[in-house]
Amino acid sequence: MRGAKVLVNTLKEQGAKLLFGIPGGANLAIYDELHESGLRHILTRHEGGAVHMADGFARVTGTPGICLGTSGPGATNMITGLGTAYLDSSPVICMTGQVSTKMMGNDAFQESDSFDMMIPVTKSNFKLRSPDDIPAVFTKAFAVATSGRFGPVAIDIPSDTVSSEFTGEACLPAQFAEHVPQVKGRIADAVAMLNSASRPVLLVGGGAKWAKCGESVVELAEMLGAPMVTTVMGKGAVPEDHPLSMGTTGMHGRRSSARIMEEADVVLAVATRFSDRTTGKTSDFIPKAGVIHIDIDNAELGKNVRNVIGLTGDCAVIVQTLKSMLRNSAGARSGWTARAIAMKSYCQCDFNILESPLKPQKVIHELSRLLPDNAILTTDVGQHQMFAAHFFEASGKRKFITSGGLGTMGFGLPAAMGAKVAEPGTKVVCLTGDGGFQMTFGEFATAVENNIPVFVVVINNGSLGMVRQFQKQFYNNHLFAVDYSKSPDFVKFAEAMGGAGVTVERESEVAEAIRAGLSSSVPFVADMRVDINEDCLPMTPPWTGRNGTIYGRCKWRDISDGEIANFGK
Amino acid sequence: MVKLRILASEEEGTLQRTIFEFSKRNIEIERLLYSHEGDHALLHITVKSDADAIKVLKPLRKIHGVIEVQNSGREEEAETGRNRMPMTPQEMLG
Ligand SMILES: Cc1ncc(C[n+]2csc(CCOP(=O)(O)OP(=O)(O)O)c2C)c(N)n1
Ligand SMILES: [Mg+2]
Repeated sequence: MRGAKVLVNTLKEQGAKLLFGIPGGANLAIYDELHESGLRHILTRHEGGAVHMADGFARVTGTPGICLGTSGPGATNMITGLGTAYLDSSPVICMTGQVSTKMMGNDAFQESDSFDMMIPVTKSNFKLRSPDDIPAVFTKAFAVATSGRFGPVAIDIPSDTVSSEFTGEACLPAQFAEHVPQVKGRIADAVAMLNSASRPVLLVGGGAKWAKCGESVVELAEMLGAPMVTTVMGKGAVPEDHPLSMGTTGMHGRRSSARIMEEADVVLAVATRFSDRTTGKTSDFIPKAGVIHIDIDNAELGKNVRNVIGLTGDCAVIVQTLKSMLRNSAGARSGWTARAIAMKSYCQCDFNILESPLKPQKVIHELSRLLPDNAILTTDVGQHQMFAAHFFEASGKRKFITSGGLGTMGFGLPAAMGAKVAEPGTKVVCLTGDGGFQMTFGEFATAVENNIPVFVVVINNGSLGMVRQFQKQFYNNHLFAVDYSKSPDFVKFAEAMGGAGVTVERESEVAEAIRAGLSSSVPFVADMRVDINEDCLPMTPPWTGRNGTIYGRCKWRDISDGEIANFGK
Repeated sequence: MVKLRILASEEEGTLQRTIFEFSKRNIEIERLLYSHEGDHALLHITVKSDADAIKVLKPLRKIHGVIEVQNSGREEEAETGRNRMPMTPQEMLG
């Protein structure tokens, strides 16, 4: 049997049903086997799109998303997608063709040292040396990607390892089951600290989604009477319509979330890596609190926030354990809980802004109002992303998928497509910017061709808005190389690709456009022409700390100390 | 100077990944000794400070293929002079 056949069989044994990719000389033997394999293959327009789609698939299912590219440029095109998946701990399996083992090192046609290039953007990676290695290497790759802290794994596949005959032995998946970290740490101390806390807060990170422990986190918060704050990556882990849910914190987060953290005496951090976008200026970050940090990755404990009580292991298990050991003390903290709820309700500002030109907040407002309870929202990177992180309500079972770690423009559309393929029955909306959309909008053709009816909402400000905002605020308004004087007509573009779309210029048209997008049977673009001058605020630059917060329309700008003191009284 | 002792499998990529963990954190490798222990690769990597060693220790332990990482503590300057087969990462990799 050919190596390629063994490869395809091994993918199936690992549960693969579909993959995203582009063929080329070095991976043709694999494509030849895929031909009649029964595996669904989605032919993308760019290998970067294939990785983001696999990533989107993984983020929705919690199982590996698979992608395949050729050697050389195919492989180098996949680096950004891998880096994106790596920083957000997403289990992507990335296969790349390679020149044959006999040619390697000769600068053969389309040869690149993909293996070494991919080391820093993967959790682990492998290079096949012989067809006989295929079962073991692939089984190991899936095990590494989905054990402990998830992450992408790449496999470089020289063409002769798949075109020649396999003479080896099958391998037992159990042989490579990766080590599952045991729960370790000072649980009793953590319990004592939480029991005696007066003002506990839960900070929930993206790992809570991978661990699928959102429900237990909510129960824990209810037992403690503790408000829950999420990071951008954690958004959607707990329902944002829960009374104890405060929304996101961080650079563009809610002031109420930041404030409640400032007041906390104990912070229980669940599966967050305390990124600089979350903490801001570290001396301002949770200045009064003792910190209990739960993470599956021991290397995160003490990395960015020191002096923590660290608990390592599966967060779902740890949260359950804490629940079983804690006493229900919500009653004793009713004052604290009331204060948090009062702060949150103060923060529910009216962003149903009816001004002209159209404001991005209005679009987010209508998306929050009209999306189904289980919708998936993916975002790109920029102002629209931070507007969504702040204002979009990830209520009920809604999912929020974003490139929070690498901040990769062009992620939104292909990630939405991966999500839609994973859950065809769910409404999947990609919120993107005019800049980010144009980075990967070739994949819109892939969506049409493969009947993946995603709904793309372009917050079109004719600009690389977030960069423009930085130039305005921090570079003396020296606006340079940020405005697009001409962009394509995105509706004509969508139509030319075989999709549909609508241009929106007035606030009164927004809801109707969203309804049209949600009910479209083909991929759909709503081109929301918004005000180029509307900055994404509030914003707290990491170098200024909270005294340097730029408030914009945010109500906290004018609040008095007396009013703050009275919250919940 | 602080020396780390890293025992790893000889599987391809493990050594590169080990070195990258240092450059990723902008930690200079002062000295690098490579030898074998049984079927395994044994690396002794010297860095400037305790802080550097602490920063890189846990990430090294996470690498698939790394079996054990120990901080052998502060190393006496005289003990590991450059006459003991020094190898730069570039030499080792290529
Ligand atoms: C691939 C990539 N290149 C550059 C950047 C830097 N960057 C961050 S936000 C941004 C502007 C994004 O513009 P757009 O997609 O129109 O979104 P907006 O901020 O206008 O909402 C840029 C260029 C990035 N994050 N990713
Ligand atoms: Mg824009």
